[in-house]
Amino acid sequence: MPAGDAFVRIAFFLGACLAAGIVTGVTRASTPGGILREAGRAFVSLAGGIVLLCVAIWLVTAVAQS
Amino acid sequence: MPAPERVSPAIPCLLAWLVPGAGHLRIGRRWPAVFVASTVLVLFVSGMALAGFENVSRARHPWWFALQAFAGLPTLAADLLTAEVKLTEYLPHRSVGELYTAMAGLLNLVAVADVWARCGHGDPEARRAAPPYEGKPVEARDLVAPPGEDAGARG
Repeated sequence: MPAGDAFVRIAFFLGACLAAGIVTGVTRASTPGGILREAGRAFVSLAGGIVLLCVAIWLVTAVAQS
Repeated sequence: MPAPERVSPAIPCLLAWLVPGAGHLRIGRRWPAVFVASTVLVLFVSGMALAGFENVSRARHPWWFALQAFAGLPTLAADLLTAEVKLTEYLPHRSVGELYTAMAGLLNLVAVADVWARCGHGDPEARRAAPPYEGKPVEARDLVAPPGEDAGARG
């Protein structure tokens, strides 16, 4: 996979996580500051969780193949 | 932020489904409406653009359409306006576009659920501030009469 394509895919992934984070923020707060704060937390949790899951799957696969 | 008032969720939820953000606006929550509308519509339109404005169609993609339908009138409008669109070139990120439009619909469904919750139980800040359970269980020490007081006299 070319490096540029990988960056584009990561950007798509982060965009989807950002959208989900904003709507999650809406469900947890009503003021603009509160929504942005909760959206940031949700974004970090969602994106970080998926990345950690992918790393875990990659590690298990690597160990299984070694 | 005014105190939450209990209103019937039917009309706000219907509006929230038909037009992203309209349900929150109907119950007087302007900023959640702005965030929901901008997020869902940007995701929906960018997904259509990535897929060549061909991916929202009840006839061509019925399974995707079932998820996109939760975005309400934008999905209906896109279905009608892009009925004759045909792909003439390879689009490398077409699947991402399909996912984005479906995700826009599902996120609008979350927004509808939020409108429902706000109508029935108030804003999320008020729900967190409220005590979790108002019916405090009676503890054993509350049943013991204070010193000097006749327990039988209390009836």
